[in-house]
Amino acid sequence: MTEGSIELLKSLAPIAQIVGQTITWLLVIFGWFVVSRSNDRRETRKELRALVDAIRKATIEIETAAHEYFRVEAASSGHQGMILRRDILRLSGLLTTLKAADPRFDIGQSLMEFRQTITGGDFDSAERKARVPADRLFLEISSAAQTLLENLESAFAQAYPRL
Amino acid sequence: MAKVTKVSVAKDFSRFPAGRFTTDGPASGELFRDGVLAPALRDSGSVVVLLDGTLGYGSSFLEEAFGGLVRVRGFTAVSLRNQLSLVSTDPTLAKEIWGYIEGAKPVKRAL
Repeated sequence: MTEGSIELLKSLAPIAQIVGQTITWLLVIFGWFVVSRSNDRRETRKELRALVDAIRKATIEIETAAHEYFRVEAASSGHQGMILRRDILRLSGLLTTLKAADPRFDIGQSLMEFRQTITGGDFDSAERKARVPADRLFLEISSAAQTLLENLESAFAQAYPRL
Repeated sequence: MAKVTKVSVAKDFSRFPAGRFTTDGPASGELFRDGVLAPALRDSGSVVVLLDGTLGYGSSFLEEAFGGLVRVRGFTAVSLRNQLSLVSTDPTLAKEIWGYIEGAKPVKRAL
């Protein structure tokens, strides 16, 4: 190595030091960013999981209440019809909140079919008769509830796979 | 300019809309259709129905109130598309109602 090249290397040493420090800082910032992003995602997943669980619980409760409602005639069902309408409205609110948090949760069609199955036909009719346990409507209500839950879980699994 | 009428189901009709026919209760779909909605549509160029503020809806009420406009009150789905607007925080409600309007067939009256 010539004396000139040694002098050149000596003159570049401070620059190399600055470049080295910059790379170190960039790695620190990148690492912090990755960890922070991962934590945010884990928190979001946890919050949305809680919301999905609340929707699951509400759906199953409405399904059960709907079965009870149709098992008795109109005159004996008291305010059950009003309670069902109110609970379906609340369920709709939870699904709207979920979709606002993440548009990939598009479960509106399933909710609509669930509502139509329960509150269509002779729902709220003064003439409604008690249904026998084998009545097809009970299967349809449970099927609509199950479809809603499956679509909900499927959307969650796709949007938030386990980290 | 065409007259625009706003109809709030909760304020102008009932917070507890329920039932299909007047025989089902005091706030049925039939009563809302014949007492509020159809007159507003006949009197105004445009009607905006505000659906929020009630304690929920049954599909039987919605079908009778809105599908019934076509089935028994002589409106067509095309004319309603031009005249009627639905406002709700729940987008599935408007979709369901338009499904009833589009799917309704006019009932032929016996001569």
